[in-house]
Order: sequence, then structure tokens, then C-alpha cells
Amino acid sequence: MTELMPVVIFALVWAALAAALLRQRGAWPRALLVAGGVLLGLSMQDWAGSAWFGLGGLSLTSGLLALGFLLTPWWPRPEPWLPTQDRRWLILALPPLAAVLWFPPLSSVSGDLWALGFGDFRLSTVLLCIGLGLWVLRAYALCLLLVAAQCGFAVGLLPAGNLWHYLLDPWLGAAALGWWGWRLYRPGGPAAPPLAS
Amino acid sequence: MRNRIIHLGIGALLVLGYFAGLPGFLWTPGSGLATTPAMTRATAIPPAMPARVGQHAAWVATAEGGVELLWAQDDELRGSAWAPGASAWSEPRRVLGNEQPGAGWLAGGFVPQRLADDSLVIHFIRPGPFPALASARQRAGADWQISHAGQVQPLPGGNPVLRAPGLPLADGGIWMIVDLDDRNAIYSVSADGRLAGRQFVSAPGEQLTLLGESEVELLALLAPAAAGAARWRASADLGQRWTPAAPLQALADVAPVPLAALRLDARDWGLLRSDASGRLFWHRSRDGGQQWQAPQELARSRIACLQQQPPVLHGGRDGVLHLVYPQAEDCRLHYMALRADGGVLNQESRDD
Repeated sequence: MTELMPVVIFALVWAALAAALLRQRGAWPRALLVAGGVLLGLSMQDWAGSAWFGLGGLSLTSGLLALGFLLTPWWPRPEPWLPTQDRRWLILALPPLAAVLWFPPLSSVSGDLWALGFGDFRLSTVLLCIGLGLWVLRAYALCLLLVAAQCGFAVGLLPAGNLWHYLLDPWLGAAALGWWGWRLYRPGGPAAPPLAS
Repeated sequence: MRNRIIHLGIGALLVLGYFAGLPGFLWTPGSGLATTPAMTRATAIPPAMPARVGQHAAWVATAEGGVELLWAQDDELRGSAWAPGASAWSEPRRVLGNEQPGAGWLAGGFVPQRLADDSLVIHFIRPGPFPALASARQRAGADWQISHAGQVQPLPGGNPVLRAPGLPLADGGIWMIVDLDDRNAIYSVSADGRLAGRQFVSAPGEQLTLLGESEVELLALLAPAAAGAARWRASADLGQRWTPAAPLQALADVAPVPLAALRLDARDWGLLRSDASGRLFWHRSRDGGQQWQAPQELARSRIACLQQQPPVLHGGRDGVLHLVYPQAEDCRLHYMALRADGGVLNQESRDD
């Protein structure tokens, strides 16, 4: 299971990207893209360069966002599963968090924040406070993403033993940062990148 | 009503997530360090071992009560074993090639571990854009099994290097020292082979060595970044809190080479130091580091060789201390057996 999960997440993310770029809105084309992504992931497993395509390095959050996007044709309610407001908060929060976690000058100021992801009372408390804030604001989808990452960490769904690898990955941070740039470049452009719709 | 139930349900899930993200030891006590029995009286004299060409030498106890020297050579792990009573070290054997773990698997060093069920575990760094900790495990008579423990660093790149020996935990987990560019970090791997923690206790450039005293007490010995005095830090709660770094007065002239340390008995420690000219000295304290006996010179090597291959010590169950260090001439691995008092049992060596 632990070895298979990164392949499944990789397949979901690549299928979601392909579906967005190819404008495939039907259920069957999306299912076929996921199947193709699984085959691609399995065939790339032993290739060292596969990590640059996200295999093994994608977070559970990325996988769930991609799954939510791919399930849109089956979604029974008129409103999207990730409302516009939730989407904006997520995209606004990700780049600063990624910078504090990975950008060397900021990460040295914040201490070894990455090491707290191995299981730490302080990090869990901060995440609980953030979750409660989202709960009060009725951003349920973000609450569920947070809880899913924490529960995935508890049961060891991914090979990594660090909570940050379940919550966030460099590609997700870069995608959110790219959206920031896109919005700055085109203020009247789309409200969110295709993956978040 | 339905909306209220959903609202309260999400709140309950958040509390569940909070507990899910907490460290495991809030529910179950964390495992202590595995302490070894006293090793102060040598009862055997091991034979000489030919000098070996290789890197990342490390010792591991064998299932038969002996000891095996492991080293990396040509991208494969080799070993030569000796058991008390045997007249010679075994011919070098190929322990594990690169077919299963992948090419370049030993470039980042390795740490061997013998578990309670006598299976042998080799922890190594899986190379690639995201260097990750991995382990190969062999149960008695069975094939090797490879498992992955997770990324060593959050971002791609870097050349992390593992340094033996590890500090085993009683439950089968292990603490290992990883050289991350200019800093040494302690990485903890749980009994199920998952990366479980990271800590920095040394300053940039300092070389860290760990010495376990009891289940929860340990010492961090810090070799300086440039020749000078070593420093030490102590923890009495399994690394949760450390004392501030203080100079180790007995070790004034220390080369920028990791120290080798061994717990011989309760508060009875042995320590191997390299000085600025590459000479190796044996130090012993029988009162938990309060006083150190006069150092004994054991051998002479070269700093450049010692930095490539720091000396590695192992205390056998028979009281013999096994030392491997690089020769001054060609950096080949040289074996020496000694007693706890620093007496050399056998320093003969012949070339391959």
C-alpha cells in the first residue's frame, strides 16, 4: 500500500492536468486518463529521473485536489466541491507556507520547521487552530483536506514519515506561486487555475 | 438540522486530525537506547586481517557471536567475518550487490544494524533528485527486502551521507548521523523502517559522534571544524533536551575528524581521537568523563585519509575492541584489535 500510494497520487495529478489541458469533461475520458497515469507511474517507478515528474514526491493534498477535479462529472450538487472562497484561501496560503518551509533564508529563521513534521505537539496545535478558524468560516472542504493529510500521516499512507509531505509538496507550492504570477500579470483573468475548479 | 450535524461532524474530524498529527509517544512510551553489556575484559585474540580497499567501513555483530567488517567497494557491499575461536578472518564475501537497491546505492554511505531476530539491516541513502533513506533487510537464509523510509531533506538535491555506527534503540529502531553538506544531523528511524525525526545538535562544520550511556542518557561528542578542542553535550531524556555545548578539556588537540566512542561499562567510556598530525590516541574515562586516563598512541594515519574514512570502533561480546582506520600510505582499511585499557592485541597486517 505504501509503495502503491505515490503511484496513485501521481496518476491522479497527471490525469487531472491532462484532462484540464485537453478539456476533457466527460467521465470516461477522465477514467481512461487515470488508468493511463497509473500505467505511466508503474512504468516509471524504477527510473531515477521520475522524481522530477512528481513520482514519489507529491503530497496527499495534491492527490485529493486532483481527485476532486476528476470527480466533477460525478459530483451530484450544483455548487463545486471546493467553493471559490476556499480555493482562494488555499492558493493564497500555499506560497508563503512553502517559502517558510523551503526557501533557505526564511527556513533558517523559522528553525527546523520541517523536522516538526515528524510529529510535534506545537505543529499539531497550530494546525488545529487553523482548522478551527476554517471550521468557523465554514470552509469545510479545506478542513477535510487538513484532516485527510493528518490521518494519512497517522496511518502511514505514504513512505514519508513527515506530516509536511502529506500536506504540501514543491509542485503544489510552485503551482500556487504560478497562479499568483498569473493573477498579477492578468488582473482580469480567471479566478482560479483549471485544477481548482 | 442536517447542516448542524455536518458542522459538528467536521469539528469532530478536526479534533481527530489533531490527535493523528501528534507524535506517537504521547500514547505509547518511546523506546530507549539499546545498551550493551560490559566489554572490559578481552578473552580472545583475533587474527590479523589483510588491508582492504574500500570506503564506508562499518562493523556489525554476526549471528554466531562474532563480528563482521563491512565495506563498500565497486558499488557492492563486501564483508569479512571472524568468530571467537576461528583462526582467520573469512575470505571477503559479496554481501549485497546493486541489483536490488539500484546503482550508486552505497555512494551515500551505509549503516548496518543487527536486529534481535538476527536479521541484518543495511540502511543507506537512495540516490536521486530526492535522496531518501532506504534499507535492505535479510532474515536468516532469506532474500534481501528493500524498503523506503522517506526523503532525507524537504527539497530536491543535496548529497547527504550516512556515517556508521548507528545508535540502536531497544525496539529495533536506530539513530543515525547524516552529513548534510556542512552540518551533521541525527536522524531517527523507527522499528518499522520509517523516518521518525531529525535533530541538529552540532554547529556547522562540527563532526558529531553519539555515545549511549543508558536507555535514556546519551552524549554528543563534537569534533571541531578546524583542529582544536572537542566539545560535548549531554541529554538525560533521550535527546528531548540537550545541555549547552562545553569544551572537552581532555581532548585539546583534535583534528576535524569524527571521534570514535564506545561505552565499555556503566560510566566507563573509551574514545578514539585523531590529532592534527593524523596520530590516533585511545582515551578512557571510568567515571563518566570526570577524569580521563593518559592517552595512548595507537597508530598513525593521515588527515586526508581519516576525513574520507573516519576510524570505526566496535566492542565485541568477548571484550575485544575492533578498530578499523585508514593507512597513512594509501588510505586502505587497516584492522587493529585492542583491549579496553588500550593494549593492542594484534596489529599485524599483511597486504592483499
